Amino acid sequence: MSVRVGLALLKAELSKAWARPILEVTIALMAILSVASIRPLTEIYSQSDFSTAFQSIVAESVSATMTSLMLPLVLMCAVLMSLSFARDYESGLMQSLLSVPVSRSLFFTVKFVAVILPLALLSWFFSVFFVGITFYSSPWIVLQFSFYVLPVSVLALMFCGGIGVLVALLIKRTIPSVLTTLIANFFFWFICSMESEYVYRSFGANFANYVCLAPFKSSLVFLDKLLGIQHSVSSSLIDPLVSSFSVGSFGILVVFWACVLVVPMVVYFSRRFEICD
Amino acid sequence: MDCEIIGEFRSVTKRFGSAVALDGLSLKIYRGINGLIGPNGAGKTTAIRLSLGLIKADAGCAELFRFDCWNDSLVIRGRVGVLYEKLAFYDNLSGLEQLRLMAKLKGASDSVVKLRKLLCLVELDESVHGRRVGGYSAGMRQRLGLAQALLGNPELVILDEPTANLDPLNRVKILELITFLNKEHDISFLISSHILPELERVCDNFILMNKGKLLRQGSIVQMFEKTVTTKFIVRVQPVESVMVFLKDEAYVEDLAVIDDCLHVVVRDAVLFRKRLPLLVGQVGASLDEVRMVKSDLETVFKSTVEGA
Repeated sequence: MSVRVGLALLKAELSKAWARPILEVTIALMAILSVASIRPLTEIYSQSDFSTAFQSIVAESVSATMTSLMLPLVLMCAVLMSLSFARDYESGLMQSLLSVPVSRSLFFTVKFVAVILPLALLSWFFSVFFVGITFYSSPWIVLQFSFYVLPVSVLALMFCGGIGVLVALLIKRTIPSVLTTLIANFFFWFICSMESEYVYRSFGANFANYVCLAPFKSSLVFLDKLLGIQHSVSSSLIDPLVSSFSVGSFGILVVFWACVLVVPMVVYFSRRFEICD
Repeated sequence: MDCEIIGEFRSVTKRFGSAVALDGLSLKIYRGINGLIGPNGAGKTTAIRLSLGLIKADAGCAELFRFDCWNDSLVIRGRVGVLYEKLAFYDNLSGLEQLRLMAKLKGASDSVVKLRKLLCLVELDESVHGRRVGGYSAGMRQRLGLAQALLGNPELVILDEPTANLDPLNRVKILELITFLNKEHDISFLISSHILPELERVCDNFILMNKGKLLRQGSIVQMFEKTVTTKFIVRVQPVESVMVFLKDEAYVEDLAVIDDCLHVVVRDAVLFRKRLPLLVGQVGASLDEVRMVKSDLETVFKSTVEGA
């Protein structure tokens, strides 16, 4: 019963959240950024161990595609999530939907999935497509490596989606919510994307080490670790934290970031959230 | 009132910051058609939202069908249909698709034949069932909202301004439909509206609120009984001399001469009827006619709210 209800609601939410031209704009933006991440093939011809070098460069291509896609993914997710909650609240649709016998947690989950799932699928599709056209002779290796993009992007998007929901539920007005979400995510992105080398030179190695633990950076490091890439935060600095933390530890860290906002938001929305003017 | 009580608020208080939306509100919702009236900001919408578990009371107890409105809201929402003043739909869906979605969410039958029948019942033309809701007129959206509220045979339907956006002809039809559904299908209604003559025609029980408090509750007869002021039209000769005396009477609220008749609004109708012949006799005037103007809900509303 609740699966049927959830699917019916998800279908309606998908058609609303991705109404023209949102889907088209997202695809165009992601396609442009993915093209920029395509790597030249020349460097692998010089390698003697061709198979290892080939796998390594496919993994690096997947990682590079995902790194390029991360910023638009983060911004689109946060904005769409904020838009989805704030617009429904403002228009009165949330009031109507919360007046039917559907649990609030299901309603929240559906709205969340309706934004995150298509974005994660798109990022997976683009990594398969653009890495695939470069390495078209080895589709299975491409598929195998690209598969990791799906869970990593879902987890990364849960954090920025959580920011979007938090802002929307606090502000409850569409335009201010979307703008605040954009600013909040840029702020987080800026902090998380600060070059370790700069931090290292300005504040010392201890501070630089911790950059890899920040939400967006940790997702990319986690993906690199899953792909078996030796991650270097910058060309001249090998971060000891990145090297010493296992893939599992980064997995736990990324899951923590994914849940840190979403879980309290679900609890708040289910138990305390009120509809008022 | 000896009707069955289906809902009750007991000393319910709700604050939004420093503003008090409901101030110890106590009321009863009876089986039948209940009219919820009050000026803007009286707390009607807050009371409706509270009854559906959309907001939580700060103090007091709110129950529908003996279930707590906040803790058991899922059960209550399964038995209640609602039409809000602020209508909102998935505008990209067609009217039929929207109704089908809501039927699934309510656990009601989503058979297209039944849903079309329901749309026809609320006078939504068959030619627009497949059209996107975003292209509907205000009246069509109102009818779709009403159909949505009636989904799944609810025991109670809460309607917030159900006839807003409708032309007079369709208003009458909707009111007839409400009466029909109450009589034939035993569906109870809680109607919040500012169009009081409409409520007067269909409601069995009235709830009059102001500033988050209950001012008065009861049938239309009970509402009139407790009316604070009553209006009389007095035909007397000469008018001016009687008017001078009446001005000094403490129970007289308002006095005017219209078409050689005295229009008198009094707080105590019994005392006025007793004193008037004495006053007329005192000034040596002739009393031709004393007529009490029949009170309507608007008069009751005005006098009660102003009196409060």
